This record gives sequence, structure tokens and C-alpha cells, in this order.
Amino acid sequence: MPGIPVTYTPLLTGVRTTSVAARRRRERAGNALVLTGAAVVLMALLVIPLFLGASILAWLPLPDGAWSRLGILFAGSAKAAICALVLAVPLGLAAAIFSAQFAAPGFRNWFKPGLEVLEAIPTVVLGLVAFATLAPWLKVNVVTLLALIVAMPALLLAAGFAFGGAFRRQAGWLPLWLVPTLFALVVAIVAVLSPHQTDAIVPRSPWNAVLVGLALGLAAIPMIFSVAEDALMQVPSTHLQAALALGATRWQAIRSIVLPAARPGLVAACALGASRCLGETMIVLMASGNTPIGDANPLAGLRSISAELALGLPEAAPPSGAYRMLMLAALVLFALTFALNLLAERARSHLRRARSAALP
Amino acid sequence: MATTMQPPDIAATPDLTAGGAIALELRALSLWYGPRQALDAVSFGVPARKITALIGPSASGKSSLLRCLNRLNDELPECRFEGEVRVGGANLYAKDVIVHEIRRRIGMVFQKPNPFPLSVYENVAYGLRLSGMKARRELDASVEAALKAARLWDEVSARLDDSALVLSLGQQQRLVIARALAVGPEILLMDEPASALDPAATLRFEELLHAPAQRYTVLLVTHTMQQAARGADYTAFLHQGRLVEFGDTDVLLTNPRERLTEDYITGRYA
Ligand SMILES: Nc1ncnc2c1ncn2[C@@H]1O[C@H](COP(=O)(O)OP(=O)(O)O)[C@@H](O)[C@H]1O
Ligand SMILES: [Mg+2]
Repeated sequence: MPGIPVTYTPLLTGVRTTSVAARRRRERAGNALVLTGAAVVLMALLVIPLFLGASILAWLPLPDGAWSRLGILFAGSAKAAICALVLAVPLGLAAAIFSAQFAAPGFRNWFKPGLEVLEAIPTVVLGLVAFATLAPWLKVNVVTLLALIVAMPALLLAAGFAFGGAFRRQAGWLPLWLVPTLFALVVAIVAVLSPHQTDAIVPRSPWNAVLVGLALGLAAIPMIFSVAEDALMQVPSTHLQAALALGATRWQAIRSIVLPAARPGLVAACALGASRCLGETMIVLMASGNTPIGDANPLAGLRSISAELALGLPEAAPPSGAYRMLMLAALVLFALTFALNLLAERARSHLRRARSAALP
Repeated sequence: MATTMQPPDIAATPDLTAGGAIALELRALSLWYGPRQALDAVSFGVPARKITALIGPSASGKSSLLRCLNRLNDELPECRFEGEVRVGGANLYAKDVIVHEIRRRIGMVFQKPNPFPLSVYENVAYGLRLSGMKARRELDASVEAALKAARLWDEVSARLDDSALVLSLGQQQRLVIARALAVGPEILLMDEPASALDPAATLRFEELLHAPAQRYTVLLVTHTMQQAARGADYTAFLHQGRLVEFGDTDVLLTNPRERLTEDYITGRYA
């Protein structure tokens, strides 16, 4: 206000200036810390490919057959990842849709953390299960597995049509016994119908891509579920309400509005799952047989890039051709997983931007 | 009232608002969210082809009541309901009512404009496609008619394929009204549809409201007395989940029977 002199007590002014200066100092220190951290992370990110690249390029040319071996390893990794994703993507996405859109809140409250906690299982344990339990079972039960894959969704659909109404009214507990019951039913039927000991389809090797896919898929499900579920939960419920109010059934509303709105998040979930499957080492090491054959048959063995690195590195001395081959394999693996994670991150930031733009 | 001739079920009723003077009848409607009661034995009839305003302080249960009338509360797992809702004389909550079909005939406009993240055109066409309309020509005509009815056509006719999310708030509100009108509902439930609008847009909206009232039964939640006074034939006053008073708007607003109503409309209500 003009004309009125403003006076501060010196004490008060003094206190204020020091506190402001102190705060500024602290802020600057904090900024420096954050910047240093970011720089270190960025350098680490850059150092890895640079180091790998240098170890390969320094002693050109690569030994004969390095590229063809790399091709076989890449095919092995891809075969294992595809088998795993065939299992993990449908199950992970279905579980996410169920949890975000159909489960009663009480049920969801323990279903989601329950599934996410599976992420914490050490992969060596999953590998062990695949090695010790699943492999002997699969050796004589390929047909059972195929029957399960065909019959389970069919039976679930049939059960959905039969109990759909009741399920919605008592939302939550029904699938608890429905799924294991159906599972047991199918196993029992197949066990009765199929001749014992020898199965109609015999795997080429007891350690094969299907086995790897089962264990690796199990490992990838929690991540796919978690990312997809978050994306679905972030779709404003007002979209669903509006669609229902226009006469959509719940499933129509989900398919036409909720899933498209969450699509970037679902893509991110799949990309992260694929990245996880490509990079995973322990399960592949234990369950794949580690045979470097370029065979597309899912019932034949494989050797992945990650397993090659784990197995070959202790024996390869730095300047040797074998060592440079491994470095090249590592670089390929790094590039692949990095690209997949980048894709996932971009999809998710797209989702965030779309959402903030949607706010009126 | 409308109980003279009761058809066996809603699906067999060709016009929900024809025949009786009452389109929607609430009988001792009570509603709980978990342990919390939101509506307490509300009974009144919504006259056919008239605008009925629902007024009351916030959290008095207006939105909850509206959601009972198109069974949107069915979707809330914690929600429990007692009493009866009759629409066109038939029980809305009868076992054989196909919920998604009845929702096509009882449209709803929400408090906040909530267009889908689709184009303007696809927003309006959404309900039409659900009801099986496929021919492009037919869709085009219906979308245009609905946008014209909602007084939005002139502003968006050149950008039907743009995202609905880039429209202004007032345009979005008219878009969701067009979306609701497009499927040709017989009854329209509107939850404070003007709360997101500036005064000029509100006026335009009220203008819009009168046109469909010749064809539709409208139940309009509003928190501004002026809107009720200008637009509504009948008014119901809800307070803490109870219906305090229902009657002709002019009578209710100028000469209320209840002390509570008087306090509320004169602004003495705290
Ligand atoms: N989905 C819900 N879950 C739990 N409580 C709710 C829900 N919707 C509304 N309520 C509660 O019901 C009461 C009535 O709310 P509402 O119908 O939204 O009132 P109004 O529309 O008149 O403001 C409020 O106390 C509110 O907290
Ligand atoms: Mg409300």
C-alpha cells in the first residue's frame, strides 16, 4: 500500500534470510545429488554397449561360424520366449481383466497381491520344478497338455454361459473352485482316455521348449498381470458407466471402450513380458537341455543366448574368438531387451499423456 | 395412478410412457452402500412426458436415486436395495428383465461430461451400433439428428472425426446428451447436466431440454432452484435420503408445505 511505511523487526528479517539461504543451499545440494545420480545411471547404460562393442571390434574378424551360431542361439531364445508368451500373455491379460473389471473388491484385494507375489519366487526354484517334476510328467503327457489347452478355455466358456448369472450375483468366489475343478476334470478325462506309459506324441527331448515355456511363462505371468491390471484400473470408471448406461453389456463395454483405452498399457505389459522371457537365464539353463540345434519344433531342445553366456563365459579367455562371440551375443541380448523396455516405456507414457489430456 | 393396466413385463410394453400419467413409479425405495443408508423409503411417481426436477443438498441421495432407475446400481458390488420401481407399470427389478435392453430405453446423462476417448461421430454412434445399426447411411442420419437435437451439429459438423476429448466442456456436455438421445430412449435421467456449464451454455442447455420434453419423460437432478423453476413441471425435494416434498414446481417453490423445503429454497438451509 502506498504511503504506509513497512517496517520489519531486524531479528525477524535476519531469521528469514538465513533460512531462505539455507534452504537454497540445501536445494542446490539436492539438485546436484539428483543430477549426479542421473549421470551415473546414464553412463552405466552407455558403458555396457560400449564395453561390449569394444570387446568385439578390437580384434576383428570374428571366428568362422560365429554368425551362424549366433543365429541358432537367437532362434533358441526366440523359441523359448514365444512358447512362454503363448502361455503367459493370454493368462496374464485374462487375469488382469478379471481382477480389474469383474472381481468383487474384497476378492481383488487378495487376488492381485497374491498373483504379484509370485514374482518373488526365485527362478531357480521354478527351474527346479520344471526339471524335477514337470519334465518327467511332460515326457508322457504331451497329449494331456494339448487337451488341457483346448479343453480348459472351452469348458470355462461353457461354465460361463451356464453359471454367468449366478457368477455375477455372487461375484468373486465362484472361479475359486471353478478353475481347479475344471482342471482336475480335464486331467481325469484325459488320463482315463489316453493309453498309459506311452503317449501318442513323444517329445524329441525331455528338455524342450514346451517345458521351458511352461516354467518361463509362469515366471512372466505376474509381471504381465501387474502392468496390465494397473493400466486397466486407470481407465476412468465413468467410461464403463457411460457404456453400460447406453445399453452395453459389461463385456461389450470392456471390449469396445475399456480395452482400447488401456491398449498402450497392455502393449507395455506384453513387451515387458517378452523382455523378461528373453533375458531370463536360470530356467532356460535348467530346463532347455542347452542343445544348440536350430530346430523350430517346440518339443525339441534349444540353447538360448542367455544360457550360452552363462555356460560359455567361464571357459572363454578374453582375447579368444569364443570370447568375442559371447560378447556379440551379449550385445544382441542387451539391444533386444533394451528396445522392448523402451517400447513399453513409450507406450505407458503415451497412456499417461492421453489421460492428462482427457481431464477437462 | 398407473396401476390401472399392468402389462406382464417391460419388454412387452411398446411405449414406457404411454397409457398412464406416471412413467416411473418409486415405491418405498431404500438403498444402502454397505452399512450406510443413502435412500430411505422414497415414494413418488414421475409423470410421463414432463420434466420433473429432483432437488436437494449434496449427498442427499439424488444421484443414488437416479442410478436405481436404470439399474446402474446393480454394478456396484456393495450396494443393496429394497422397495420397488415400476416403469410403464411393470416391475423394473423383475427377474426376467434384460438389464442392458431396458437401459437403452431409459437413458442417462451423467453429472460430469464423460465422452468416450473416440471421435465425435463414434461417441454418438456408440449406442446405435450396440442396438445393431450397421448401415453407414442410417448411422450418418441418426448421428446428425441426435447432434442437431442436442444443438451441437453446427459446431462439430466439420470435425466429426476429431477426438471428442478436444471439445470444450460445454460441447462435451451436449455431446453426451446427443449420445444419450441417439438411441431414442423413452425416459431420460439427467444428473446435474448443467453443473459443468457456464451461464450462457446453461441457457442454451435449458432451451435444449424443452424440445425433447415433448417426446421424453425427463427426471432432472439440479442444484439450482432457478433451473427447476424455469424448466421443470414437477419438483421433488430430497433431504438426507428422504423425500420431503413432491409437487407442481410452481406450488413447491412458492408455497411449500414443509418447513424444510422452505428453508432450502429460501437459502436458509445450512
Ligand atoms: N458408490 C458409492 N459407494 C458408497 N457410498 C456412496 C456411493 N455413491 C454415493 N454414496 C454415498 O451416498 C450418499 C448419497 O450420495 P449421492 O447419491 O451421490 O448424493 P447427491 O447426488 O445428492 O449428492 C452420500 O453420503 C455418498 O457418500
Ligand atoms: Mg450427485
